Amino acid sequence: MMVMRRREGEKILIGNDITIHIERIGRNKVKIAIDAPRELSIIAEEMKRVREENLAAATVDVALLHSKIFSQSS
Amino acid sequence: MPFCETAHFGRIEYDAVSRLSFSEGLPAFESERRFVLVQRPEQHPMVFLQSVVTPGLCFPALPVHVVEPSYTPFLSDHDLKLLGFTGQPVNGADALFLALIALHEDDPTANLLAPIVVNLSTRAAAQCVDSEMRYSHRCSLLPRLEAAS
Repeated sequence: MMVMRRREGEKILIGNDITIHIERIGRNKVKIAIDAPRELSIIAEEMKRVREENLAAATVDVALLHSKIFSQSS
Repeated sequence: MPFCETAHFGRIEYDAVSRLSFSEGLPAFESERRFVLVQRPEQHPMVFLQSVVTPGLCFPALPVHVVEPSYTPFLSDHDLKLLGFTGQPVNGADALFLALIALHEDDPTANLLAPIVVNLSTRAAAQCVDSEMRYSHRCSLLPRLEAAS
């Protein structure tokens, strides 16, 4: 993994097509602007986890879930 | 009374005002905008978030306070605006918070990182990532259920 130190307003270039701009650095948040080809998917990491959990929740075997939850609480 | 077909519950009728509107859908299900909550006494306190458009799309869920009694909401400015709140809502008073349930290796887990939030006066709903990232997307339910029994 590559680690770089950047100040507010500075940029990072990845290859010829991707620019990461450090727009603003707050107390515990940083605002980043990303310029990249449209076909690249860019999402916050936690959104990937949320998507995966939603896909798992949508395919739950409800009868199995019921037995797991209610055998514990009874 | 409007009704919809469902894979788990057969045909269900629902009150139009109780239908939930997800203006942005849910992550991985962005085109699904309309859901109803199905509750069955024998499965209390579990509830089911059932799509009114797709019969097979049904998410099992638990109220967040069942999973984590000390849960306190912290919505981002984007989500507050999306749901029509002027300040942080109070779970159970002006908002309903539900954690979706999944099974991993047969163990039930609750997604407290991104609960379903419903504005109880408008029925606007969204899946909101906790803006302080305080909770896991896979909180194990079994220790909590054992402690409660």
